[in-house]
Amino acid sequence: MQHLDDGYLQSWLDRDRSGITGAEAAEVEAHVAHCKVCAARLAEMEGTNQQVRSLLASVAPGAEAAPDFDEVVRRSRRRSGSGGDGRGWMAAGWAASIVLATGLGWLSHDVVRPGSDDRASAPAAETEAAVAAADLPAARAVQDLDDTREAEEAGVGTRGTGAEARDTGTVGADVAAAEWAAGATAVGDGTEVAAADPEREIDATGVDSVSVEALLGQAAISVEGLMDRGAAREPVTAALQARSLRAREGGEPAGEARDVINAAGTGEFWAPVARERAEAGAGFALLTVPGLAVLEIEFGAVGGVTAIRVRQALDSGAVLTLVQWKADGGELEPTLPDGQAVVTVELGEVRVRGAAPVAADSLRRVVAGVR
Amino acid sequence: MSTDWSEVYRSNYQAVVRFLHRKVWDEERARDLAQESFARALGSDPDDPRAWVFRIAGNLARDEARLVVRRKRHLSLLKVEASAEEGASATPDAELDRKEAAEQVREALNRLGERDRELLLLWDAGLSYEEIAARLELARGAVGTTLARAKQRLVDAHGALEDRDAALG
Repeated sequence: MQHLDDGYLQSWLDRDRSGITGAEAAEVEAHVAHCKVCAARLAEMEGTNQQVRSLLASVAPGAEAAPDFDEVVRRSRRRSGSGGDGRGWMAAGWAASIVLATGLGWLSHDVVRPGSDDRASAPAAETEAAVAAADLPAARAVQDLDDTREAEEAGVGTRGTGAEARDTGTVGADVAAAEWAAGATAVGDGTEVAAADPEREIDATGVDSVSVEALLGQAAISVEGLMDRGAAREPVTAALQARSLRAREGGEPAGEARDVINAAGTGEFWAPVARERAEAGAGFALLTVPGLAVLEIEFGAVGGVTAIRVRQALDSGAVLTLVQWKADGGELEPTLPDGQAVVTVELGEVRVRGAAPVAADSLRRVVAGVR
Repeated sequence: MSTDWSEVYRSNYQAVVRFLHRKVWDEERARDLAQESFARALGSDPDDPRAWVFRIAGNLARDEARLVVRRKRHLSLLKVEASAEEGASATPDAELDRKEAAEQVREALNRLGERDRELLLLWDAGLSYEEIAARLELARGAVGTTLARAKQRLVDAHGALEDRDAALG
């Protein structure tokens, strides 16, 4: 007698979702009714099934009701920046620019090799900020390529992945364009920004320098930037300049160049950086709560005001988020984790807004300790 | 027909949290990423909304894993502090046992290959064979066999860890 294979038996065990037909299920049942070997195997697999369920259940998170769906909707709107006042699409546009430029930063890494004479033409400050390039292991590159494909399929933008796995600038640019398109799709309500069909001119001028032009609806944007990378070769945006190309003359960027991360009204942007770089950019010494481990330091801008965001681990394991900026920069409304207590303090010239999933009184005591 | 995301959210949120939790091993982060997954999915109209959300969740978890690598040095420090705290606060035996058991399962899962682990998590999240096949680029007919093997590997890996810990006393 021919026995049933494990795949068939497993499909029968999962018959509510395996797609096994009624006739096939009946065939399995008739077989095991007469075949002791298959009946024993089925019982064994059923036991394994239960054991696996039990093991997985032991590492399941505690049951907690799903937050209200409206919260997801609000979050989605925040992501897409459809604030309705015209600033939302700008923020998304800049974010897309950064995504695109970052991808091109990787591209330029391939196009211009370390030590190229082209770097000599970069301004001294840029050269200082550039980190020596090093090739990624092939496996990592392939993984990143897969990620990019998945992200493209899912409409999820990934930062600076994929290009290093490609051979030519053309293909890398397509990756970046796809990311651009993903960002543009997320722009939101479709009224202010029409379907994204970016035009692009790409000129990778140095290992860490990028220049991009793109058209997003009726807004043309030029991004020129300097890529700074950490030891793990993760792209870190050190400085990006953007120009509005509303008036284009002979294809040349027009309008005043502005630092993206300093530009007023461009929303919120963060990039992980070293403490020294964050402090240099923000113009003040980073404030932290002594005794708490620092998890991450980011430099960025909120509504055009430069700021530092630092995450620290509380003793309970929860994460404390501190956003800090110069008090004379005005009032900021940085995005903080939802549903957490929020406390704002001021220390000298620096204002600090902290958030953590703890009681407000506890948070106040913690944040008061920053120095 | 446009997707009723409210219903998709209501009926799948917990499963997505479970799925993410076993990837990032942080409840709060898993809930946050689950919300983010749905937030990113809103506005699209995929053929299979549930599979779409799980795909996004998988991508987010992978990004998260990269972030964790960058934080590794800091995480090590946290561990030392946590251990010292545990010793001082005399955790009840039952709680300690539960934690150790969960750690064994976590390690057993980590010992599996990426595809086996993903397969089990998607299966446990309630996805159909068709959805799993599409997500993992498997032939639908191969899901049952691959699943049976992955389950056995998990049980074996867990058994080996139990034996190891028993030997250590």
